[in-house]
Amino acid sequence: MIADFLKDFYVGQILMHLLFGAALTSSLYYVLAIRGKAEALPIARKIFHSLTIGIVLALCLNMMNVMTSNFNYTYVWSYSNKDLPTWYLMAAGYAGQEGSFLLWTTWVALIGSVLIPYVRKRNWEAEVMVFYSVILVFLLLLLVVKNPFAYIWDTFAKDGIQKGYTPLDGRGLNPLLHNIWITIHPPILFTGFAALSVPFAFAMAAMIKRQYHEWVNAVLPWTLYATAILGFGIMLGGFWAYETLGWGGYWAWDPVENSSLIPWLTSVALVHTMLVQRKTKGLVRTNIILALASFILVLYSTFLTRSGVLGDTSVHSFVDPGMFAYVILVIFMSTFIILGVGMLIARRKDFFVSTASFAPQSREFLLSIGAILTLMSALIVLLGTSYPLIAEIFGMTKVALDQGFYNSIHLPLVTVILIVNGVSLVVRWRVHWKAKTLGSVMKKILFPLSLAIAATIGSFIIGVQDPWYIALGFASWFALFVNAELALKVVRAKFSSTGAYISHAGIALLMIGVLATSRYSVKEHARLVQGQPQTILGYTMTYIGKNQVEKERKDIERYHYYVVVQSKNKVDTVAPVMFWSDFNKRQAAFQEPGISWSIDKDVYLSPKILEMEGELPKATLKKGNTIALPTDTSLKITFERFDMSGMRGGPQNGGIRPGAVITVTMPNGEKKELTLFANIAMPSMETIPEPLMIPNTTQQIAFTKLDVNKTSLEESGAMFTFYDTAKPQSAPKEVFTAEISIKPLINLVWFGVIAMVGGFFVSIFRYASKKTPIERAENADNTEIKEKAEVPAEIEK
Amino acid sequence: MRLLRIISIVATVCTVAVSGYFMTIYTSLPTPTFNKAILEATGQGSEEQAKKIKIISAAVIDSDHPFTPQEFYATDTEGTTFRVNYTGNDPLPTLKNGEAIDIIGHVHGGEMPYVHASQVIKSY
Repeated sequence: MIADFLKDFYVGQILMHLLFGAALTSSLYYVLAIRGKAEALPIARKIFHSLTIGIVLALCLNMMNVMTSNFNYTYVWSYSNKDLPTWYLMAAGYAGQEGSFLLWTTWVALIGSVLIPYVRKRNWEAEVMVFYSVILVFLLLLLVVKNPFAYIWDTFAKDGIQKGYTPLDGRGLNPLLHNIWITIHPPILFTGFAALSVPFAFAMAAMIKRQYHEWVNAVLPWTLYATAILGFGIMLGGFWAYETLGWGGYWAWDPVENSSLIPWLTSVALVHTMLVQRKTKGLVRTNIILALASFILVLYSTFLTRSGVLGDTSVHSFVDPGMFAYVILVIFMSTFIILGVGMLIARRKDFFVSTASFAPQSREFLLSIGAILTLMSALIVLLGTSYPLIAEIFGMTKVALDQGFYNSIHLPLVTVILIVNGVSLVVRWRVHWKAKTLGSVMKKILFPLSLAIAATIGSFIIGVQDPWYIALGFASWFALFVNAELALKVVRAKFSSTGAYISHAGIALLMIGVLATSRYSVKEHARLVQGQPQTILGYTMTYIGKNQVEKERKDIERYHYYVVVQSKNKVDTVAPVMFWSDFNKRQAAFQEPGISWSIDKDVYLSPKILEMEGELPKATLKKGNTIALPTDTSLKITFERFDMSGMRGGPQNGGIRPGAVITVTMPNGEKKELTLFANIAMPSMETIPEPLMIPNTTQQIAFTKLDVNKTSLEESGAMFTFYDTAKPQSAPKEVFTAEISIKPLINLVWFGVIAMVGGFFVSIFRYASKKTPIERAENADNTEIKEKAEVPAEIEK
Repeated sequence: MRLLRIISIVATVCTVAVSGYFMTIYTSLPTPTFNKAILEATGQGSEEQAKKIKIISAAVIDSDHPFTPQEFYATDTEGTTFRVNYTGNDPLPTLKNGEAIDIIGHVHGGEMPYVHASQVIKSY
């Protein structure tokens, strides 16, 4: 009844239009509030909160449609079906373009409602929320165009679909997305995207208010939160690729991966330049530009990955959203670029107020250098990811850049970043240009430097001998030891001050893991005969058989292939997966790896194919084809035609029973016609043949597979299997082919990212309540900021 | 500040220049024959994306090899005729039998191997 009501009155679609109107109204009231109409502010606020409730309601409505398999809706029909388990149904709610836009919008709205009391307390509400509401205006405009509540009869009206038509089932969710990570990764990534709206809105507000220092203190915890969440989301995507999708690695520099990495890198730079401004009042313009850029790059990433422009250069699936949505994406991005650049130009004279001067041996200078290096990385990834677009514009071959492009440039760049990071932490803030600091710096880095040299020598002895990898290894060890030493010094006195050290140490560990896995992984293809142990890469591996799982599901046929992996001190059984799905009409298998986890390395098995060894000879014949019997060449068979009489009565025992008529030509020229039948179970298509003996011979023949040509039934063929009963064969054995690789220190990659994200969260708690030294100095009515801001390097980061 | 500004400008210029240089290195597509591409794809690791290639070929259009906007046939420099499945963004150019073309995409193995093309460019 509710469904009928929703259907008859287009409730979902009307709701999206109303929400768009509400966002627009909220923005207009915030504009009025900025222009001095104080009574407009509470109205704008109430509209915004109502908007948030409405958007959450829309999300719930979409979820309800998906969970109840309401295939009246094009979105539900496109991304779900009745066989999906509950978890995947929930994921289907945001697996498509429209659903993911709705999820992103919901996060923006919810964060906005939390942000309102925060900015209200600081008297920044109207200026911040006006831009924040405008972001929602555009997101909701996209949802009006790419509406998740569009009806199937409206979408396919041209195809003659009548109003009220309900498909029996949906198209289903891409099987690659059928795992637990789809329920975690996208919501977290979109939270990061949504949170990056906050620094943008604050930066714009700072230019409206012409207050260029207060906003940094207020927005720093939000920026840390956005960076932490986005980094965590990116890492989960990498883990998903490694653990389930079977891509072998965790990072492939794919456009979709890059598109979330670029804003993350700029937000990392922003965090550091904001710290510099808090301490020195310098980098005012830089921080505003970076806050604007981080958000605009989120929009650019959305444009790259959702507009279809990179459709044929990525392993991820991109869908062309249609010209109207494409235009709105372009307008969305252009509007915020114009707004940001316009405000920067309008306020350009304000940015010359800073008289901050950074001595090269100061921490603010080295932090700035670190930020420049991080931005160089972002620029490289941006140029690389945009290359297919650039190439198309210049009429060149539209092709994604090879991974080598990113790896080659980043190897030296990351090495320098890590060294700068280590050194920046041992120098002091605001030292004079003429101050002689080399001696004290050397003294401070002596211990971590010695440890880094020792670790590098150790790595060299165990095989890290390429010059660039030695350099990267040394830089990583150096950054790790500097940060670990400083963290240990302050952890007891002030745990919240360890956030930056934990994050930096995490990045250093991550890079050691990246170095080990990318350069020192080994791999080998192996054919594992069932029950026969084989030594591969120092492990004894035995394929012991397969087992079908999730038998209750009709839309997929899923098998686990069990392999025992044995080393000197460990025996483990891994179960790589191959499955066939109706989603791609079972044309190709989907594969998931099997991983034997251990602390120092993973044994990674990517399944390839399962074959039979010692199988009987086979041949596929089309109508009219004649061959000599492989088991007795004095006999010839001709495939005449199919006999479908067994199928006319309908499925037999839950399947079909086609027949193949053959003519056997005996050595004396005599011809005999035989009809061979095969029982094909549905929907698994498993074939159980009914073999026949060729009269007066020892030869047995069976019709074992129907080879259907869908475009021309005349071209369809039949597969036959031959057996000489006079020469009994041993039972055929399964042969499991897999690519086996050893991934050393892969856990450092995961642990490093977790530490990095954890460090960000520790810093959020630190900066959420803390006033800057400048504020403290101002509160104390002390103009000697420099003296107040001068704190020990070990304590103040 | 002035020093930082100079460093920023130099870093930007260097990044663009170095990126441009490396782009020229990492975008030249290999040009194998169809059979060689199939052979290479068979030995390719799972962690690698399907390798993009350019097959220098000529269109084959006759009664046995029909031309449709999504599918046609081509023959490579070894004389192997193969099926091309086209899913590029731009409409497929109208081709004549024997017309020289560069097919950019990746190969699919299996019982009926074919090229999944994202670009088909007439070569002059």
